[in-house]
Amino acid sequence: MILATTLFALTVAKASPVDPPEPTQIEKTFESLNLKSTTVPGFIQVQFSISETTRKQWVQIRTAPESYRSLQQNEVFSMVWESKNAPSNEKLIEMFLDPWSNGGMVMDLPSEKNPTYRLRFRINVNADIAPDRLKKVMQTVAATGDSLEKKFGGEGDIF
Amino acid sequence: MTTLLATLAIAKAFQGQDSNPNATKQTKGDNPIFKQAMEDTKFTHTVSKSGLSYVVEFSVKDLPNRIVWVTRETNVKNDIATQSIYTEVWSDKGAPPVDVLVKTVLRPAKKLGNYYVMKFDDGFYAIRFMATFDLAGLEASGETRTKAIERLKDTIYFVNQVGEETEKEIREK
Repeated sequence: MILATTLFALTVAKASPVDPPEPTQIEKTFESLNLKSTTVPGFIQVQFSISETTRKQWVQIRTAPESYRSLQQNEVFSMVWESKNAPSNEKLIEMFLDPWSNGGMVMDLPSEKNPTYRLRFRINVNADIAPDRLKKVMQTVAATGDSLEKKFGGEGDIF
Repeated sequence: MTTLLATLAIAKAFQGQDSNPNATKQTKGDNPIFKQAMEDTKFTHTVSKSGLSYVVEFSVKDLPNRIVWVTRETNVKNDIATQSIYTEVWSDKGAPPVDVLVKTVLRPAKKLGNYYVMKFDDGFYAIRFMATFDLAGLEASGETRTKAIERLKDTIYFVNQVGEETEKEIREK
Protein backbone atom coordinates (compact mmCIF):
# COMPACT_ATOMS: atom_id res chain seq x y z
CA MET A 1 0.00 0.00 0.00
CA ILE A 2 2.76 2.39 0.89
CA LEU A 3 4.60 1.47 -2.31
CA ALA A 4 1.46 2.03 -4.40
CA THR A 5 0.92 5.44 -2.86
CA THR A 6 4.53 6.41 -3.49
CA LEU A 7 4.35 5.32 -7.12
CA PHE A 8 1.13 7.27 -7.62
CA ALA A 9 2.72 10.37 -6.12
CA LEU A 10 5.74 10.05 -8.41
CA THR A 11 3.50 9.63 -11.43
CA VAL A 12 1.49 12.72 -10.54
CA ALA A 13 4.65 14.71 -9.96
CA LYS A 14 6.05 13.70 -13.33
CA ALA A 15 2.88 14.67 -15.16
CA SER A 16 2.37 17.86 -13.20
CA PRO A 17 1.03 20.73 -15.32
CA VAL A 18 3.49 23.10 -13.63
CA ASP A 19 6.42 21.49 -15.42
CA PRO A 20 8.09 24.19 -17.52
CA PRO A 21 7.60 23.76 -21.26
CA GLU A 22 10.49 22.52 -23.34
CA PRO A 23 12.55 25.57 -24.40
CA THR A 24 12.27 26.50 -28.05
CA GLN A 25 15.30 26.44 -30.33
CA ILE A 26 15.82 30.20 -30.04
CA GLU A 27 15.66 30.00 -26.23
CA LYS A 28 18.38 27.37 -26.22
CA THR A 29 20.49 29.50 -28.56
CA PHE A 30 19.98 32.56 -26.39
CA GLU A 31 20.91 30.67 -23.22
CA SER A 32 24.26 29.76 -24.76
CA LEU A 33 25.10 33.47 -25.01
CA ASN A 34 25.04 33.88 -21.22
CA LEU A 35 23.49 37.33 -21.44
CA LYS A 36 21.58 38.71 -18.49
CA SER A 37 17.90 38.72 -19.28
CA THR A 38 14.40 38.70 -17.92
CA THR A 39 11.59 36.61 -19.24
CA VAL A 40 7.89 37.19 -19.50
CA PRO A 41 5.68 34.47 -20.94
CA GLY A 42 6.56 34.13 -24.60
CA PHE A 43 9.42 36.62 -24.61
CA ILE A 44 13.07 37.03 -23.63
CA GLN A 45 14.05 40.59 -22.73
CA VAL A 46 17.53 42.05 -22.69
CA GLN A 47 18.49 45.62 -21.94
CA PHE A 48 21.43 47.05 -23.87
CA SER A 49 23.52 50.07 -23.01
CA ILE A 50 24.02 52.35 -25.98
CA SER A 51 27.70 53.18 -26.15
CA GLU A 52 28.91 56.72 -25.59
CA THR A 53 25.52 57.69 -24.17
CA THR A 54 23.64 57.08 -20.95
CA ARG A 55 20.76 55.62 -22.94
CA LYS A 56 19.51 52.07 -22.75
CA GLN A 57 17.28 50.03 -25.03
CA TRP A 58 15.23 46.92 -24.41
CA VAL A 59 15.32 44.18 -27.03
CA GLN A 60 12.82 41.34 -26.98
CA ILE A 61 12.81 37.97 -28.65
CA ARG A 62 9.49 36.24 -29.29
CA THR A 63 10.24 32.67 -28.27
CA ALA A 64 7.60 30.97 -30.41
CA PRO A 65 8.60 30.84 -34.08
CA GLU A 66 6.36 31.80 -36.98
CA SER A 67 6.20 29.28 -39.79
CA TYR A 68 5.57 29.27 -43.52
CA ARG A 69 6.57 26.16 -45.49
CA SER A 70 10.25 25.60 -44.61
CA LEU A 71 10.58 29.00 -42.93
CA GLN A 72 10.78 29.05 -39.16
CA GLN A 73 11.56 32.50 -37.84
CA ASN A 74 11.53 34.39 -34.57
CA GLU A 75 10.97 38.10 -34.11
CA VAL A 76 13.73 40.16 -32.50
CA PHE A 77 12.31 43.61 -31.82
CA SER A 78 12.44 46.84 -29.90
CA MET A 79 9.68 49.31 -29.05
CA VAL A 80 10.25 52.76 -30.51
CA TRP A 81 6.99 54.67 -30.00
CA GLU A 82 3.77 54.30 -28.03
CA SER A 83 0.61 56.38 -27.69
CA LYS A 84 -3.00 56.06 -26.60
CA ASN A 85 -3.90 57.99 -29.74
CA ALA A 86 -3.52 56.80 -33.31
CA PRO A 87 -0.68 58.53 -35.15
CA SER A 88 -1.67 61.09 -37.76
CA ASN A 89 -1.54 59.92 -41.35
CA GLU A 90 1.50 62.13 -41.98
CA LYS A 91 3.28 60.62 -38.98
CA LEU A 92 2.35 57.13 -40.09
CA ILE A 93 3.81 57.68 -43.54
CA GLU A 94 6.98 59.06 -41.97
CA MET A 95 7.24 56.00 -39.74
CA PHE A 96 6.91 53.57 -42.63
CA LEU A 97 8.85 55.54 -45.23
CA ASP A 98 11.63 53.72 -47.12
CA PRO A 99 12.82 50.18 -46.66
CA TRP A 100 15.35 48.93 -44.14
CA SER A 101 18.12 46.75 -45.49
CA ASN A 102 17.28 44.23 -42.79
CA GLY A 103 14.10 44.35 -40.77
CA GLY A 104 11.32 46.90 -40.71
CA MET A 105 8.56 48.62 -38.79
CA VAL A 106 5.37 47.13 -37.44
CA MET A 107 2.44 48.90 -35.78
CA ASP A 108 0.49 47.07 -33.08
CA LEU A 109 -3.12 48.13 -32.65
CA PRO A 110 -4.67 48.66 -29.22
CA SER A 111 -6.00 45.51 -27.61
CA GLU A 112 -7.51 44.52 -24.28
CA LYS A 113 -4.06 43.57 -23.06
CA ASN A 114 -2.22 46.60 -24.46
CA PRO A 115 -4.55 49.60 -24.92
CA THR A 116 -2.05 51.66 -26.90
CA TYR A 117 -0.72 52.04 -30.44
CA ARG A 118 2.81 50.67 -30.44
CA LEU A 119 5.46 50.98 -33.11
CA ARG A 120 8.25 48.42 -33.11
CA PHE A 121 11.39 47.90 -35.16
CA ARG A 122 12.04 44.23 -35.77
CA ILE A 123 14.27 41.80 -37.57
CA ASN A 124 13.12 38.26 -38.21
CA VAL A 125 15.77 35.62 -37.66
CA ASN A 126 15.84 31.99 -38.64
CA ALA A 127 14.97 29.81 -35.65
CA ASP A 128 18.26 27.93 -36.08
CA ILE A 129 20.40 31.09 -36.19
CA ALA A 130 23.91 30.70 -34.75
CA PRO A 131 24.47 32.29 -31.31
CA ASP A 132 27.02 34.87 -32.48
CA ARG A 133 24.69 35.99 -35.27
CA LEU A 134 21.74 36.25 -32.88
CA LYS A 135 23.83 38.50 -30.66
CA LYS A 136 24.72 40.75 -33.59
CA VAL A 137 21.09 41.02 -34.67
CA MET A 138 20.10 41.96 -31.11
CA GLN A 139 22.76 44.66 -31.06
CA THR A 140 21.53 46.03 -34.39
CA VAL A 141 17.92 46.04 -33.16
CA ALA A 142 18.96 47.87 -29.97
CA ALA A 143 20.95 50.53 -31.82
CA THR A 144 18.31 51.04 -34.50
CA GLY A 145 15.50 50.99 -31.95
CA ASP A 146 17.19 53.67 -29.85
CA SER A 147 17.78 55.94 -32.84
CA LEU A 148 14.16 55.52 -33.95
CA GLU A 149 12.89 56.24 -30.45
CA LYS A 150 14.78 59.54 -30.56
CA LYS A 151 13.49 60.28 -34.07
CA PHE A 152 9.81 59.67 -33.33
CA GLY A 153 9.59 60.33 -29.59
CA GLY A 154 12.18 62.99 -28.85
CA GLU A 155 15.01 62.68 -26.35
CA GLY A 156 13.05 60.67 -23.79
CA ASP A 157 14.43 57.20 -23.09
CA ILE A 158 11.34 55.15 -22.32
CA PHE A 159 12.14 51.92 -24.09
CA MET B 1 9.59 42.81 -12.78
CA THR B 2 13.24 42.68 -12.01
CA THR B 3 15.25 44.82 -14.33
CA LEU B 4 18.58 43.42 -15.24
CA LEU B 5 21.13 45.13 -17.38
CA ALA B 6 23.14 43.32 -19.98
CA THR B 7 26.43 45.12 -19.87
CA LEU B 8 26.99 45.25 -23.55
CA ALA B 9 28.37 48.38 -25.05
CA ILE B 10 27.01 48.06 -28.53
CA ALA B 11 29.40 49.90 -30.76
CA LYS B 12 32.44 49.06 -28.66
CA ALA B 13 31.75 45.38 -29.05
CA PHE B 14 33.07 45.49 -32.58
CA GLN B 15 36.25 46.75 -34.13
CA GLY B 16 37.01 47.85 -37.65
CA GLN B 17 34.65 48.74 -40.46
CA ASP B 18 31.65 46.95 -39.05
CA SER B 19 31.86 48.47 -35.59
CA ASN B 20 28.63 50.43 -36.02
CA PRO B 21 25.60 48.12 -35.88
CA ASN B 22 23.66 50.75 -37.84
CA ALA B 23 26.14 50.94 -40.69
CA THR B 24 25.10 49.18 -43.87
CA LYS B 25 27.44 48.14 -46.64
CA GLN B 26 26.34 46.96 -50.04
CA THR B 27 28.15 44.82 -52.51
CA LYS B 28 28.24 46.24 -56.02
CA GLY B 29 26.43 44.20 -58.62
CA ASP B 30 25.90 40.49 -58.36
CA ASN B 31 27.01 38.50 -55.37
CA PRO B 32 28.17 35.28 -57.12
CA ILE B 33 27.06 33.10 -54.21
CA PHE B 34 23.58 34.56 -54.31
CA LYS B 35 23.43 34.55 -58.09
CA GLN B 36 24.04 30.80 -58.04
CA ALA B 37 21.44 30.39 -55.31
CA MET B 38 18.85 32.11 -57.49
CA GLU B 39 19.73 29.69 -60.30
CA ASP B 40 19.31 26.78 -57.91
CA THR B 41 15.80 27.85 -56.89
CA LYS B 42 14.78 26.94 -60.47
CA PHE B 43 12.57 30.03 -60.56
CA THR B 44 12.50 31.55 -64.03
CA HIS B 45 13.94 35.00 -63.44
CA THR B 46 15.29 37.97 -65.37
CA VAL B 47 17.17 41.13 -64.45
CA SER B 48 15.12 44.31 -64.04
CA LYS B 49 15.54 47.22 -66.45
CA SER B 50 17.40 49.17 -63.78
CA GLY B 51 19.73 46.23 -63.27
CA LEU B 52 19.24 46.40 -59.52
CA SER B 53 17.04 43.35 -59.04
CA TYR B 54 16.12 39.92 -60.24
CA VAL B 55 12.52 39.72 -61.39
CA VAL B 56 10.35 36.69 -60.63
CA GLU B 57 6.87 36.75 -62.15
CA PHE B 58 3.86 34.91 -60.81
CA SER B 59 0.66 34.54 -62.78
CA VAL B 60 -2.57 35.58 -61.11
CA LYS B 61 -5.93 34.58 -62.49
CA ASP B 62 -7.68 37.47 -64.30
CA LEU B 63 -5.04 39.97 -63.18
CA PRO B 64 -1.66 41.16 -64.44
CA ASN B 65 1.25 39.00 -63.37
CA ARG B 66 2.62 39.75 -59.93
CA ILE B 67 6.27 40.67 -59.81
CA VAL B 68 8.54 39.80 -56.92
CA TRP B 69 11.85 41.66 -56.96
CA VAL B 70 14.97 40.18 -55.39
CA THR B 71 17.83 42.63 -54.92
CA ARG B 72 21.08 41.72 -56.67
CA GLU B 73 23.27 43.64 -54.26
CA THR B 74 23.90 42.10 -50.87
CA ASN B 75 23.36 44.26 -47.78
CA VAL B 76 25.79 43.72 -44.93
CA LYS B 77 24.87 45.15 -41.57
CA ASN B 78 26.89 44.25 -38.50
CA ASP B 79 28.35 41.28 -40.42
CA ILE B 80 24.89 39.89 -41.26
CA ALA B 81 24.48 39.57 -45.04
CA THR B 82 20.96 39.74 -46.45
CA GLN B 83 19.04 40.19 -49.68
CA SER B 84 15.75 42.11 -49.84
CA ILE B 85 12.77 40.42 -51.48
CA TYR B 86 9.74 42.61 -52.12
CA THR B 87 6.58 43.20 -54.08
CA GLU B 88 4.32 46.18 -54.66
CA VAL B 89 0.81 46.10 -53.25
CA TRP B 90 -0.36 49.63 -54.10
CA SER B 91 0.80 52.66 -56.03
CA ASP B 92 -0.49 56.06 -57.12
CA LYS B 93 0.93 59.16 -58.72
CA GLY B 94 0.64 62.36 -56.76
CA ALA B 95 -1.45 61.12 -53.87
CA PRO B 96 -0.02 59.95 -50.58
CA PRO B 97 -1.41 56.55 -49.66
CA VAL B 98 -3.26 57.84 -46.65
CA ASP B 99 -6.35 55.69 -46.41
CA VAL B 100 -4.80 52.71 -48.09
CA LEU B 101 -1.75 52.90 -45.90
CA VAL B 102 -3.81 52.97 -42.75
CA LYS B 103 -5.87 50.01 -43.84
CA THR B 104 -2.82 48.10 -44.95
CA VAL B 105 -0.31 48.57 -42.19
CA LEU B 106 -2.68 48.96 -39.26
CA ARG B 107 -3.77 45.39 -39.24
CA PRO B 108 -2.45 42.16 -37.82
CA ALA B 109 1.16 42.07 -38.81
CA LYS B 110 2.65 39.55 -41.15
CA LYS B 111 5.34 38.29 -38.83
CA LEU B 112 7.76 37.19 -41.56
CA GLY B 113 8.04 40.54 -43.30
CA ASN B 114 7.13 44.23 -43.24
CA TYR B 115 5.26 46.85 -45.21
CA TYR B 116 6.92 50.13 -46.15
CA VAL B 117 6.17 53.25 -48.17
CA MET B 118 8.23 54.49 -51.11
CA LYS B 119 8.04 58.13 -52.18
CA PHE B 120 9.68 58.95 -55.50
CA ASP B 121 10.89 62.31 -56.77
CA ASP B 122 8.12 62.50 -59.39
CA GLY B 123 5.39 62.35 -56.74
CA PHE B 124 4.82 58.65 -57.21
CA TYR B 125 3.94 56.71 -54.05
CA ALA B 126 3.98 52.97 -53.52
CA ILE B 127 3.38 50.53 -50.70
CA ARG B 128 5.52 47.44 -50.74
CA PHE B 129 5.81 44.29 -48.70
CA MET B 130 9.34 43.06 -48.04
CA ALA B 131 11.01 40.11 -46.40
CA THR B 132 14.73 39.72 -45.93
CA PHE B 133 16.70 36.61 -46.71
CA ASP B 134 19.69 35.78 -44.50
CA LEU B 135 22.48 34.36 -46.64
CA ALA B 136 23.69 32.06 -43.84
CA GLY B 137 24.09 28.56 -45.17
CA LEU B 138 24.60 29.43 -48.84
CA GLU B 139 28.36 29.09 -48.57
CA ALA B 140 28.04 25.64 -47.07
CA SER B 141 27.46 22.44 -48.97
CA GLY B 142 25.15 19.48 -48.69
CA GLU B 143 22.04 19.61 -46.54
CA THR B 144 22.83 23.03 -45.03
CA ARG B 145 22.94 24.66 -48.46
CA THR B 146 19.88 22.74 -49.64
CA LYS B 147 17.95 24.07 -46.66
CA ALA B 148 19.13 27.61 -47.39
CA ILE B 149 17.96 27.33 -51.02
CA GLU B 150 14.60 26.05 -49.79
CA ARG B 151 14.33 29.06 -47.48
CA LEU B 152 15.08 31.38 -50.37
CA LYS B 153 12.36 29.78 -52.49
CA ASP B 154 9.85 29.92 -49.67
CA THR B 155 10.66 33.56 -48.90
CA ILE B 156 9.90 34.42 -52.53
CA TYR B 157 6.68 32.39 -52.36
CA PHE B 158 5.72 34.11 -49.10
CA VAL B 159 6.25 37.62 -50.46
CA ASN B 160 4.19 36.75 -53.52
CA GLN B 161 1.38 35.32 -51.41
CA VAL B 162 1.21 38.32 -49.06
CA GLY B 163 1.31 40.62 -52.07
CA GLU B 164 -1.62 38.84 -53.67
CA GLU B 165 -3.65 38.81 -50.47
CA THR B 166 -2.95 42.44 -49.62
CA GLU B 167 -3.69 43.74 -53.09
CA LYS B 168 -6.96 41.81 -53.12
CA GLU B 169 -7.88 43.23 -49.75
CA ILE B 170 -7.10 46.78 -50.84
CA ARG B 171 -9.06 46.33 -54.06
CA GLU B 172 -12.12 45.10 -52.22
CA LYS B 173 -12.21 48.05 -49.81
